[in-house]
Amino acid sequence: MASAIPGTTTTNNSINNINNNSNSNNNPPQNVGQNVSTIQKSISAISGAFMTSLLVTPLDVVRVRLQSQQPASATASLPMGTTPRLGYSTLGANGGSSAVTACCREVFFSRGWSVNGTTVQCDYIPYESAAIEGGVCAAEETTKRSFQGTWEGLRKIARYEGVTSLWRGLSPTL
Amino acid sequence: MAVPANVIYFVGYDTLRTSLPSAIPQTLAPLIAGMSARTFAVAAISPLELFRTRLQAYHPTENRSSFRTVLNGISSLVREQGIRSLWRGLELTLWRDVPFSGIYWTGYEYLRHKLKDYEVFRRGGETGFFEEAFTAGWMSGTFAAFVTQPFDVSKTRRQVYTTVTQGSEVTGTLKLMGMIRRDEGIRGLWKGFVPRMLKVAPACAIMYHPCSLYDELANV
Repeated sequence: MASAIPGTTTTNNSINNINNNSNSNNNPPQNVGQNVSTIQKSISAISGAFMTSLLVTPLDVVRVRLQSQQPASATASLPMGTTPRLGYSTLGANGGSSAVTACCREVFFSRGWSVNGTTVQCDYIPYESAAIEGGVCAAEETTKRSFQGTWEGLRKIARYEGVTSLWRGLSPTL
Repeated sequence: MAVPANVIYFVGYDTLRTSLPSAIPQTLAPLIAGMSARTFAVAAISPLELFRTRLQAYHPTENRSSFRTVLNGISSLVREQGIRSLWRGLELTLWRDVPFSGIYWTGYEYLRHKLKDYEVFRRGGETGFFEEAFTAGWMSGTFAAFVTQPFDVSKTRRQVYTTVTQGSEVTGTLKLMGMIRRDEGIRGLWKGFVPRMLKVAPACAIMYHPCSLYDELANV
């Protein structure tokens, strides 16, 4: 910590002396060092976290979308006479046995539906539960917006929902 | 969220790392410290993580406030299933993050020492500890992300959806992962690995530099 400017050397030394004196009088010097390191670490952690969040939030959005969108590869045919209903996807890997749907998402997020006092659930068995009635699944819309890859995801989200959607979730992150 | 989480994590890691009894072998100390610090951090921010995941998964079909829509969804979830549902997905988050931390820190310290020993980044008299820390963090982080990816997929599913089979919700981690594997193939369990992997490098470059730098200075 020696100063490069000759004129300031004495001042620094006297400050150091004062610090040393007060340290020896009150508490051991290691404590001071410990506190500084914790504060320094916190500050660097905070600023680091802030910058990282800004940079990686779009990747987070794409990641969560990739994980939560239904498989776009297969389009299961609907059983005869069945209209697609909220909560049941018309898309699914093997006829929709585990189809998780945009409609489920809709249900789960927005209205918190309750039919006959039971919570609406996204069912793994299509077309059987009586829990969800009415409403047509926006399957086509979802297909158009679904994606396979990271770059494709970034592009599609920006195009269909606006560039700011890529930073969704940044505010709770910060 | 990232801010309090990282403060808890880094300070916790640092405190535990230095205060663990010396009976614990040197190789296990970062593992234990990393895992415990991560557990505290994850549990503390779990409700916010739930909110954020739902917000990011939500894509509006109508023009309405996604923030409020998601908030309403969560409040009805709490009304129907109790306050504990705010920590929905915590178990899976821990399954993802605790092994991640353990693998990450162990690999990080191991690789950093190896890089230092073999003088990979030494130029002239300088040690190049930023390069060492970054490379070690990046390699270790990518590996840890790959290993824990199935838990990441399951965590997102659990936080966003209620998966029901035969009338009751699937809560078991292995059962949920088994269903994903059965219906979407083994690749289904590694969904979102690429964006997650891409996050590792900037996180290492920005996040771990100051800390490693400080460690380096403190150890001298």
